[in-house]
Amino acid sequence: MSLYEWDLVMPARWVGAANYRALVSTEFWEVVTNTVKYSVGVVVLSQTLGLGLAVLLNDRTRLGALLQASIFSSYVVSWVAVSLLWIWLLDPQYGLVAYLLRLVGLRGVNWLGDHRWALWTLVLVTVWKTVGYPMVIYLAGLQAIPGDLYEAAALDGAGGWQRFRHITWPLLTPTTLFLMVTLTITSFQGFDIVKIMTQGGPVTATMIYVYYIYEQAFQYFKLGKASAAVVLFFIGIVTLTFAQWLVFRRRVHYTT
Amino acid sequence: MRHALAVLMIAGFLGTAWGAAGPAAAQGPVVAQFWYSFGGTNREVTEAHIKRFNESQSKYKIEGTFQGDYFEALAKIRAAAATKTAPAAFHVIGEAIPQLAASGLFENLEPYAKGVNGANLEDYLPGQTQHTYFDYLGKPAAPLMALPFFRSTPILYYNAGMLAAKGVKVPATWDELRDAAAKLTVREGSETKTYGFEVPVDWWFWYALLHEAGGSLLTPDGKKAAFRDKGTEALQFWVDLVNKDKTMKRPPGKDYNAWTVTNTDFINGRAAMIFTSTAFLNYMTENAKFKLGTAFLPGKVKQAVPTGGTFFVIARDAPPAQKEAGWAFIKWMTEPAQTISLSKATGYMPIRTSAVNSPEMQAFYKQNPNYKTAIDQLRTAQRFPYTPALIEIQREVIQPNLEAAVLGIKTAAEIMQAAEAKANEILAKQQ
Amino acid sequence: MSARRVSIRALTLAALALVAIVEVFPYVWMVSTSLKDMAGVTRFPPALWPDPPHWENYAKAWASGPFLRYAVNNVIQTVGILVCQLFFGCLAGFAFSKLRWSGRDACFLIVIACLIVPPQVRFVPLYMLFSKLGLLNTYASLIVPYAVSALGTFLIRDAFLQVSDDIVDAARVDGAGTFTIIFRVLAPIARPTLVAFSLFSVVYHWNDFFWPLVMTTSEAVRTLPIGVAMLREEGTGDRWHVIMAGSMFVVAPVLAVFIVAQRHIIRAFTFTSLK
Repeated sequence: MSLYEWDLVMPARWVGAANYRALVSTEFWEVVTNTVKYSVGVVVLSQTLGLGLAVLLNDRTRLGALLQASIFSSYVVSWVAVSLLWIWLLDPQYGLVAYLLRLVGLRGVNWLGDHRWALWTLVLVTVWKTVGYPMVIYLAGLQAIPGDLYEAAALDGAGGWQRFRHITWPLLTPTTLFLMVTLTITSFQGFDIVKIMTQGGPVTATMIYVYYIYEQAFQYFKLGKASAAVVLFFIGIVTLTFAQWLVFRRRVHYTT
Repeated sequence: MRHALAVLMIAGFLGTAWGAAGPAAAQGPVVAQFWYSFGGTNREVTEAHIKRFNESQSKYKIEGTFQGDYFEALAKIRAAAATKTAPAAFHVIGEAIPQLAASGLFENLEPYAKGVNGANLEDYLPGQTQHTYFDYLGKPAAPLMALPFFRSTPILYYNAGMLAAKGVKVPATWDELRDAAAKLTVREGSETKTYGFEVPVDWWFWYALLHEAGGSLLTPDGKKAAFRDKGTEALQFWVDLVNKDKTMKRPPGKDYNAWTVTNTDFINGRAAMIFTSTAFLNYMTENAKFKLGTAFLPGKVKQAVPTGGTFFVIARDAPPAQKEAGWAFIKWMTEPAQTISLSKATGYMPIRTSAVNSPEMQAFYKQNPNYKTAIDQLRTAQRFPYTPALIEIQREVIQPNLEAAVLGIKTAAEIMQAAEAKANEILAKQQ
Repeated sequence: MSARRVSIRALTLAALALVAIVEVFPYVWMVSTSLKDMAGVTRFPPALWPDPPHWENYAKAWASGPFLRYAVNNVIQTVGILVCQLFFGCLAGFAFSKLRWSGRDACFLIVIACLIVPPQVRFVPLYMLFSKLGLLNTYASLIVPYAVSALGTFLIRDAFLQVSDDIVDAARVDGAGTFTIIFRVLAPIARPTLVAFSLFSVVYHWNDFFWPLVMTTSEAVRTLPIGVAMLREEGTGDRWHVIMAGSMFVVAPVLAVFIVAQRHIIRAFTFTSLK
């Protein structure tokens, strides 16, 4: 379909590679850069934060469970429900965030309306919403590590940080790889947050790949162009996923 | 036996799936679908009217279905049209009509209008109908394909309390608007507590400003773009208000999201004056805790407004019996009694002259003068050029690029120049 | 305990509490908004807790559409998809990891391709296909397109790859058939992956708005997120209190399931280390 021009109603017209040419000569590269920035930001931040939270919450107390549930709750809520709330929170005029910043004497930024900040704001909001997932997975992974390993290490005089580096981290590498792959793939598919909060704006600052495809297909009815974008997306992700997998699987330790 | 269980479950689902599907073929009234793309109060009002229609006669039964937002609905309709399962009736924005008509999506309504269950086309308000919405560019008029549904114009809403307190009179020209906005803006240190003015940086309002400055979108024959100079003036007006005077807030978000923010800011007293659709009049009246005023949009060389909202259309590929049902429904919806109740419940304008002149509406307007503003303003309504390129120009050339000027990324002149080039490209493809 | 340990512990708790508050605050906000009236919703600065709480918002949201039907459909859809995904995922994962056949890796590449195509694009051809089959507006149209999950297949395959072939061979020697090997031997070992994936799938499909919207036309098969979306206005101020109440119907069940299943999720992960 990527080689035709089609708007769903009129019969498709063969245009050869014109779609690809049109695609690459517009703001396409900005979309790709945005998507990569967004994805890297989300994956790195949510995984690190998720791991940190899991480590801190790794006690089976009631309080721990309560905290876990509250952190996970944002993952479960749908975007529509919290989107306007975030738009209010981030309003530079009367949002809570601006208010709190003013309290400590800092001037807030136009989080969603400034094209320099908008994408990173979306990264933060995404991390806020999804950090519960890596946290839960890491928690489970942590609790699968046999306690005797830690005891042995403590007996050998290893401190907290060393225990983490030599026991926890290596044994968590399968989990880490799993999360990295999953989060990368899902962040590349990021759509809802953009649809609801910024619709790709301001201008094209938050135009990420899937939203771009959606806009081409649904708002401009250029299905051929959208399909071309999908094909390129495929090539990109396959390469990336395989690269990730090949590079990292050698560093993965299995307990078998 | 887990796999057997799994297989059974799958079979079960598929079975239920088939079962839950088609309703039994109905004997009795012809069932036709009406697809709409709004929720909330508009949906409730529409569904209430659908119910009334169904109860008022036994020949046809209309089923209304929500289909997401405007774009989701349109995509579905196109996909349905491609598989010949389009709904009998749905609604579209005016700007999309030429392109969709060129795709053969619409049924020609003239035979229906002149037929047995015909409509009195003379009684429709000038400015509301398809023929008064479009400028046919010197070519013969396109056949009647659409009846007006929820129609609106942009109006100026103002916080009467704030204006009175500062001794500001309601602006009628661009310069007066600028002054008024400056006087009404309240700043506390580096923070702006109240903006004098706010408007979504949107095609619809730009179109108004373009014409107010004396410009037009295309040349009279519709072959080339003509908006560069006056369009720049229009856009520059916003750019100055936001960046130089700093009296206008640019609401974040695109399309309707920006509109929502504008409305909320106004209700909360964060903006003293806004431009937005008369469609929100009910909402404003109910929720504003201050005295609400409405007025014409301020003009420059002249006063001008576009009309907006949606039109009823019938899908050409639907089965004839359903099309008949669809026609009966949309014709009924545009009758004076219905347009009165629809208008009063939402704030959209009534579309029949007889409705506007009826004692009921006259009394209503006396009590609620704000509702009359849009109707009166219709005499300054501008037409849209009838060309399939129209919707593309709106959505691809103008709408996405207005922001960049207000944000200071590009100048208004640069944007309009690029826009002109692109629009000409699109228009050239049409020839 | 030394003073240092106490203060580290206190700091840790404080940090955690802060994170929890940040995470939970919007959720609390949802509940709070759902109990306000329109005036409370538009007021600024907004009150933290409405007084008096308007419980009737829940009734209003529930009554705005056939919410019970939606809820049932949502469950059927989510569970149906999950069962199919696990079933086919295991089959496919096995085929891609333990069996050798020509073209295997090329096929796997195609699987990866499916990972990338977002639902917004798959919609058109699938819509037309289902329309031709007369299956639009049925449960099948909701479940079947997602019945095979590329992500699930990918992850399960990886999990199966880590199981040494000796185990598979030993099972074969014991006379186990293929299905037994997949579901009785490999799947339990891959339990953590299955659970992690299930979590992801359930949350995603439960909240899915777009797919049920475009694939269905009638109330009979629609789901909760659509019901909530119908509460939204077009450009006017939304009636947030009712919308939030409606959203709670979507959120509460999943959260409840998670809280209950927390233990099981963790146990699934610890199971492997006991062998």
